[in-house]
Amino acid sequence: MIEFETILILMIVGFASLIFTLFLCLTGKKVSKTKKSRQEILRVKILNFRIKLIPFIYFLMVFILFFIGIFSNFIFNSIVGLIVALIPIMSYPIFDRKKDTISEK
Amino acid sequence: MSFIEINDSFGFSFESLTIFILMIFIVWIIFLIYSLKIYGIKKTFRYFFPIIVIGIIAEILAMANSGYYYPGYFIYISALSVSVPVIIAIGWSVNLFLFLHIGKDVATRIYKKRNFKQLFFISVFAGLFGVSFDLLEDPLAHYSNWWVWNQSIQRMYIFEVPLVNYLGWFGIIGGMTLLTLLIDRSSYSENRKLLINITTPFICFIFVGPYFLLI
Repeated sequence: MIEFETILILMIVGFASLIFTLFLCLTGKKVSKTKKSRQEILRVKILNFRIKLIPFIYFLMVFILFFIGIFSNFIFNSIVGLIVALIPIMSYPIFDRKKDTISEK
Repeated sequence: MSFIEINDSFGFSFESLTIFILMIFIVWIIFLIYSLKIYGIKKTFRYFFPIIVIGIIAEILAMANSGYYYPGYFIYISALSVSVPVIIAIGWSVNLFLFLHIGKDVATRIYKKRNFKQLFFISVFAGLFGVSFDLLEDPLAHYSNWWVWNQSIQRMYIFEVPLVNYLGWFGIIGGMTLLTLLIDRSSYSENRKLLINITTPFICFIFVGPYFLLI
Protein backbone atom coordinates (compact mmCIF):
# COMPACT_ATOMS: atom_id res chain seq x y z
CA MET A 1 0.00 0.00 0.00
CA ILE A 2 1.37 3.41 -0.95
CA GLU A 3 1.74 5.85 1.90
CA PHE A 4 -0.23 9.06 1.91
CA GLU A 5 2.97 11.11 2.48
CA THR A 6 4.55 9.67 -0.69
CA ILE A 7 1.53 10.64 -2.78
CA LEU A 8 1.52 14.09 -1.21
CA ILE A 9 5.24 14.65 -1.94
CA LEU A 10 4.78 13.52 -5.56
CA MET A 11 1.82 15.85 -6.01
CA ILE A 12 3.85 18.77 -4.59
CA VAL A 13 6.65 17.96 -7.07
CA GLY A 14 4.03 17.87 -9.84
CA PHE A 15 2.57 21.25 -8.94
CA ALA A 16 6.05 22.77 -8.55
CA SER A 17 6.93 21.47 -12.05
CA LEU A 18 3.70 22.91 -13.46
CA ILE A 19 4.38 26.35 -11.95
CA PHE A 20 8.01 26.30 -13.13
CA THR A 21 6.99 25.20 -16.65
CA LEU A 22 4.35 27.95 -16.85
CA PHE A 23 6.95 30.45 -15.63
CA LEU A 24 9.38 29.30 -18.33
CA CYS A 25 6.71 29.52 -21.03
CA LEU A 26 5.37 32.93 -19.99
CA THR A 27 8.70 34.65 -19.45
CA GLY A 28 10.49 33.21 -22.50
CA LYS A 29 11.55 35.61 -25.19
CA LYS A 30 10.86 34.59 -28.72
CA VAL A 31 13.96 33.93 -30.76
CA SER A 32 13.83 34.46 -34.49
CA LYS A 33 14.49 31.23 -36.30
CA THR A 34 17.50 31.15 -38.52
CA LYS A 35 17.14 29.23 -41.73
CA LYS A 36 19.23 26.13 -41.51
CA SER A 37 20.35 24.01 -44.35
CA ARG A 38 18.16 20.99 -44.91
CA GLN A 39 18.92 18.27 -42.40
CA GLU A 40 20.59 15.19 -43.64
CA ILE A 41 18.52 12.02 -43.37
CA LEU A 42 20.46 8.82 -42.99
CA ARG A 43 19.54 6.16 -45.49
CA VAL A 44 20.65 2.58 -45.89
CA LYS A 45 21.21 0.91 -49.23
CA ILE A 46 19.60 -2.47 -49.72
CA LEU A 47 19.50 -4.16 -53.14
CA ASN A 48 19.84 -0.88 -55.06
CA PHE A 49 17.12 0.78 -52.95
CA ARG A 50 17.98 3.63 -50.62
CA ILE A 51 15.69 3.36 -47.57
CA LYS A 52 15.40 5.75 -44.61
CA LEU A 53 17.13 4.32 -41.54
CA ILE A 54 14.24 4.66 -39.06
CA PRO A 55 11.52 2.84 -41.07
CA PHE A 56 14.12 0.22 -41.97
CA ILE A 57 14.94 -0.43 -38.30
CA TYR A 58 11.23 -0.60 -37.53
CA PHE A 59 10.87 -3.18 -40.30
CA LEU A 60 13.71 -5.24 -38.79
CA MET A 61 12.19 -5.03 -35.29
CA VAL A 62 8.83 -6.24 -36.59
CA PHE A 63 10.43 -9.20 -38.32
CA ILE A 64 12.56 -10.13 -35.29
CA LEU A 65 9.41 -10.18 -33.13
CA PHE A 66 7.55 -12.13 -35.83
CA PHE A 67 10.24 -14.81 -35.99
CA ILE A 68 10.41 -15.04 -32.18
CA GLY A 69 6.64 -15.64 -32.28
CA ILE A 70 6.91 -18.25 -35.04
CA PHE A 71 9.70 -20.16 -33.26
CA SER A 72 7.72 -20.01 -29.99
CA ASN A 73 4.72 -21.72 -31.67
CA PHE A 74 2.70 -18.52 -31.43
CA ILE A 75 1.91 -18.72 -35.12
CA PHE A 76 -1.61 -17.33 -35.61
CA ASN A 77 -1.14 -14.23 -33.43
CA SER A 78 2.30 -13.62 -34.95
CA ILE A 79 0.90 -13.61 -38.50
CA VAL A 80 -2.01 -11.31 -37.52
CA GLY A 81 0.41 -9.11 -35.54
CA LEU A 82 2.84 -8.95 -38.48
CA ILE A 83 0.10 -7.80 -40.87
CA VAL A 84 -1.05 -5.10 -38.43
CA ALA A 85 2.50 -4.03 -37.52
CA LEU A 86 3.37 -3.56 -41.19
CA ILE A 87 0.66 -0.89 -41.59
CA PRO A 88 3.14 1.96 -40.80
CA ILE A 89 5.52 0.69 -43.51
CA MET A 90 2.64 0.22 -45.97
CA SER A 91 1.59 3.83 -45.33
CA TYR A 92 4.72 5.07 -47.12
CA PRO A 93 3.74 3.84 -50.61
CA ILE A 94 0.01 4.45 -49.93
CA PHE A 95 0.56 8.13 -49.13
CA ASP A 96 3.12 8.63 -51.85
CA ARG A 97 4.43 12.17 -52.28
CA LYS A 98 3.96 12.01 -56.04
CA LYS A 99 0.22 11.36 -55.75
CA ASP A 100 -2.35 14.07 -55.11
CA THR A 101 -2.52 15.14 -51.49
CA ILE A 102 -5.07 16.99 -49.38
CA SER A 103 -2.77 19.92 -48.79
CA GLU A 104 -4.16 23.38 -48.12
CA LYS A 105 -3.01 26.34 -50.12
CA MET B 1 14.63 -0.85 -0.57
CA SER B 2 17.00 0.89 -2.97
CA PHE B 3 15.91 2.81 -6.08
CA ILE B 4 17.91 0.53 -8.37
CA GLU B 5 17.63 -3.25 -7.94
CA ILE B 6 19.76 -5.89 -9.65
CA ASN B 7 18.34 -9.33 -10.28
CA ASP B 8 21.13 -11.75 -9.18
CA SER B 9 19.42 -14.78 -10.72
CA PHE B 10 19.44 -13.23 -14.22
CA GLY B 11 21.36 -15.38 -16.72
CA PHE B 12 22.25 -14.52 -20.28
CA SER B 13 20.82 -17.53 -22.05
CA PHE B 14 19.54 -17.80 -25.61
CA GLU B 15 15.95 -17.19 -24.63
CA SER B 16 13.43 -14.97 -26.38
CA LEU B 17 13.60 -12.45 -23.52
CA THR B 18 17.37 -12.05 -24.02
CA ILE B 19 16.84 -11.46 -27.75
CA PHE B 20 14.13 -8.91 -26.96
CA ILE B 21 16.34 -7.06 -24.42
CA LEU B 22 19.32 -7.03 -26.82
CA MET B 23 17.12 -5.82 -29.69
CA ILE B 24 15.77 -2.89 -27.66
CA PHE B 25 19.24 -1.96 -26.38
CA ILE B 26 20.91 -2.11 -29.81
CA VAL B 27 18.11 -0.10 -31.45
CA TRP B 28 18.33 2.46 -28.63
CA ILE B 29 22.09 2.86 -29.19
CA ILE B 30 21.55 3.25 -32.97
CA PHE B 31 18.84 5.89 -32.45
CA LEU B 32 20.96 7.73 -29.88
CA ILE B 33 23.91 7.94 -32.32
CA TYR B 34 21.55 8.89 -35.18
CA SER B 35 19.91 11.62 -33.08
CA LEU B 36 23.26 13.00 -31.89
CA LYS B 37 24.50 13.12 -35.47
CA ILE B 38 21.37 14.72 -36.94
CA TYR B 39 20.01 16.86 -34.09
CA GLY B 40 22.86 17.47 -31.64
CA ILE B 41 23.05 16.94 -27.86
CA LYS B 42 20.27 19.27 -26.65
CA LYS B 43 17.61 18.03 -29.03
CA THR B 44 18.64 14.42 -28.43
CA PHE B 45 18.23 14.97 -24.69
CA ARG B 46 14.81 16.49 -25.36
CA TYR B 47 13.78 13.50 -27.47
CA PHE B 48 14.98 10.84 -25.04
CA PHE B 49 14.81 12.09 -21.44
CA PRO B 50 11.13 13.17 -20.97
CA ILE B 51 9.68 9.98 -22.46
CA ILE B 52 11.88 7.83 -20.20
CA VAL B 53 10.51 9.71 -17.14
CA ILE B 54 6.91 9.51 -18.44
CA GLY B 55 7.40 5.83 -19.29
CA ILE B 56 8.63 5.02 -15.79
CA ILE B 57 5.77 6.97 -14.15
CA ALA B 58 3.15 5.31 -16.41
CA GLU B 59 4.58 1.83 -15.82
CA ILE B 60 4.75 2.32 -12.05
CA LEU B 61 1.19 3.61 -11.88
CA ALA B 62 -0.12 0.78 -14.07
CA MET B 63 1.79 -1.85 -12.08
CA ALA B 64 0.64 -0.40 -8.77
CA ASN B 65 -2.86 -0.92 -10.12
CA SER B 66 -1.93 -4.69 -10.07
CA GLY B 67 -2.20 -4.84 -13.84
CA TYR B 68 0.97 -6.80 -14.60
CA TYR B 69 4.58 -7.50 -13.62
CA TYR B 70 7.96 -8.02 -15.29
CA PRO B 71 9.75 -11.27 -14.35
CA GLY B 72 13.36 -12.13 -15.19
CA TYR B 73 14.97 -8.80 -16.17
CA PHE B 74 18.44 -7.70 -15.07
CA ILE B 75 18.18 -4.15 -13.65
CA TYR B 76 15.01 -2.72 -12.14
CA ILE B 77 13.94 0.74 -10.97
CA SER B 78 11.98 0.41 -7.73
CA ALA B 79 9.42 2.93 -6.54
CA LEU B 80 6.01 2.85 -4.82
CA SER B 81 6.57 -0.86 -3.99
CA VAL B 82 6.80 -1.96 -7.64
CA SER B 83 9.78 -2.58 -9.96
CA VAL B 84 10.12 -1.52 -13.59
CA PRO B 85 12.99 -2.93 -15.72
CA VAL B 86 15.39 -0.25 -16.96
CA ILE B 87 15.19 -1.67 -20.50
CA ILE B 88 11.42 -1.04 -20.53
CA ALA B 89 12.00 2.65 -19.72
CA ILE B 90 14.62 2.78 -22.48
CA GLY B 91 12.14 1.00 -24.77
CA TRP B 92 9.68 3.88 -24.38
CA SER B 93 12.26 6.30 -25.77
CA VAL B 94 12.84 3.93 -28.70
CA ASN B 95 9.07 3.82 -29.31
CA LEU B 96 8.70 7.60 -29.25
CA PHE B 97 11.67 8.23 -31.54
CA LEU B 98 10.45 5.55 -33.94
CA PHE B 99 6.80 6.54 -34.17
CA LEU B 100 7.42 10.29 -34.04
CA HIS B 101 9.55 10.00 -37.16
CA ILE B 102 7.32 7.52 -39.00
CA GLY B 103 4.24 9.56 -38.01
CA LYS B 104 5.93 12.74 -39.24
CA ASP B 105 6.92 11.08 -42.54
CA VAL B 106 3.39 9.86 -43.25
CA ALA B 107 1.39 12.83 -41.90
CA THR B 108 3.45 15.38 -43.83
CA ARG B 109 2.65 13.50 -47.04
CA ILE B 110 -1.06 14.04 -46.40
CA TYR B 111 -1.02 17.50 -44.86
CA LYS B 112 1.89 19.77 -45.81
CA LYS B 113 1.09 23.06 -44.11
CA ARG B 114 3.19 23.58 -40.95
CA ASN B 115 0.59 24.44 -38.31
CA PHE B 116 -1.07 22.91 -35.25
CA LYS B 117 -3.33 20.76 -37.43
CA GLN B 118 -0.23 19.11 -38.89
CA LEU B 119 1.13 18.46 -35.38
CA PHE B 120 -2.21 16.91 -34.46
CA PHE B 121 -2.10 14.62 -37.52
CA ILE B 122 1.49 13.62 -36.77
CA SER B 123 0.55 12.77 -33.16
CA VAL B 124 -2.51 10.75 -34.19
CA PHE B 125 -0.49 8.82 -36.76
CA ALA B 126 2.32 8.23 -34.25
CA GLY B 127 -0.19 6.95 -31.67
CA LEU B 128 -1.93 4.67 -34.19
CA PHE B 129 1.38 3.27 -35.47
CA GLY B 130 2.43 2.65 -31.86
CA VAL B 131 -0.75 0.65 -31.27
CA SER B 132 -0.29 -1.34 -34.50
CA PHE B 133 3.25 -2.31 -33.38
CA ASP B 134 1.99 -3.17 -29.89
CA LEU B 135 -0.60 -5.54 -31.38
CA LEU B 136 2.38 -7.68 -32.42
CA GLU B 137 4.60 -7.06 -29.39
CA ASP B 138 2.26 -7.27 -26.38
CA PRO B 139 0.49 -10.61 -27.12
CA LEU B 140 3.91 -12.15 -27.84
CA ALA B 141 5.34 -10.64 -24.64
CA HIS B 142 2.47 -12.07 -22.58
CA TYR B 143 2.81 -15.48 -24.28
CA SER B 144 6.60 -15.55 -23.75
CA ASN B 145 6.38 -14.23 -20.15
CA TRP B 146 8.35 -11.03 -20.88
CA TRP B 147 5.60 -9.36 -18.89
CA VAL B 148 2.60 -11.05 -17.38
CA TRP B 149 -0.90 -9.61 -17.37
CA ASN B 150 -3.16 -10.39 -14.44
CA GLN B 151 -5.99 -12.23 -16.20
CA SER B 152 -8.18 -12.43 -13.10
CA ILE B 153 -9.27 -8.80 -13.36
CA GLN B 154 -12.54 -8.30 -15.25
CA ARG B 155 -11.85 -6.13 -18.31
CA MET B 156 -11.90 -6.26 -22.09
CA TYR B 157 -9.03 -8.22 -23.67
CA ILE B 158 -7.61 -8.28 -27.23
CA PHE B 159 -5.27 -11.25 -27.81
CA GLU B 160 -5.16 -11.75 -23.99
CA VAL B 161 -3.92 -8.18 -23.51
CA PRO B 162 -6.25 -5.61 -21.88
CA LEU B 163 -7.75 -2.99 -24.19
CA VAL B 164 -6.63 -0.30 -21.74
CA ASN B 165 -2.99 -1.20 -22.57
CA TYR B 166 -3.51 -0.23 -26.22
CA LEU B 167 -5.29 2.96 -25.18
CA GLY B 168 -2.30 3.70 -22.93
CA TRP B 169 0.09 3.20 -25.84
CA PHE B 170 -1.94 5.54 -28.01
CA GLY B 171 -2.10 8.14 -25.23
CA ILE B 172 1.59 8.02 -24.31
CA ILE B 173 3.01 7.92 -27.85
CA GLY B 174 0.49 10.40 -29.28
CA GLY B 175 0.63 12.74 -26.29
CA MET B 176 4.41 12.75 -26.06
CA THR B 177 4.75 13.25 -29.83
CA LEU B 178 2.48 16.30 -29.60
CA LEU B 179 4.34 17.67 -26.57
CA THR B 180 7.79 17.10 -28.09
CA LEU B 181 6.86 18.70 -31.43
CA LEU B 182 5.05 21.62 -29.77
CA ILE B 183 8.17 22.46 -27.78
CA ASP B 184 10.32 21.74 -30.83
CA ARG B 185 8.45 24.21 -33.04
CA SER B 186 8.08 26.91 -30.38
CA SER B 187 10.18 30.01 -30.84
CA TYR B 188 11.97 29.83 -27.46
CA SER B 189 15.72 29.56 -27.22
CA GLU B 190 17.24 26.06 -27.27
CA ASN B 191 18.18 26.25 -23.58
CA ARG B 192 14.63 27.21 -22.58
CA LYS B 193 13.17 24.43 -24.72
CA LEU B 194 15.49 22.01 -22.93
CA LEU B 195 14.36 23.27 -19.49
CA ILE B 196 10.68 23.10 -20.45
CA ASN B 197 11.16 19.57 -21.73
CA ILE B 198 12.87 18.52 -18.49
CA THR B 199 10.14 19.92 -16.22
CA THR B 200 7.02 18.87 -18.18
CA PRO B 201 7.16 15.10 -17.46
CA PHE B 202 7.07 15.74 -13.71
CA ILE B 203 3.71 17.52 -14.09
CA CYS B 204 2.29 13.97 -14.35
CA PHE B 205 2.83 13.61 -10.59
CA ILE B 206 -0.21 15.87 -10.08
CA PHE B 207 -2.37 12.99 -11.29
CA VAL B 208 -0.80 10.44 -8.91
CA GLY B 209 -3.07 11.47 -6.01
CA PRO B 210 -6.38 11.34 -7.90
CA TYR B 211 -5.23 8.10 -9.61
CA PHE B 212 -4.64 6.27 -6.32
CA LEU B 213 -7.79 7.71 -4.78
CA LEU B 214 -9.85 6.41 -7.70
CA ILE B 215 -8.42 2.85 -7.84
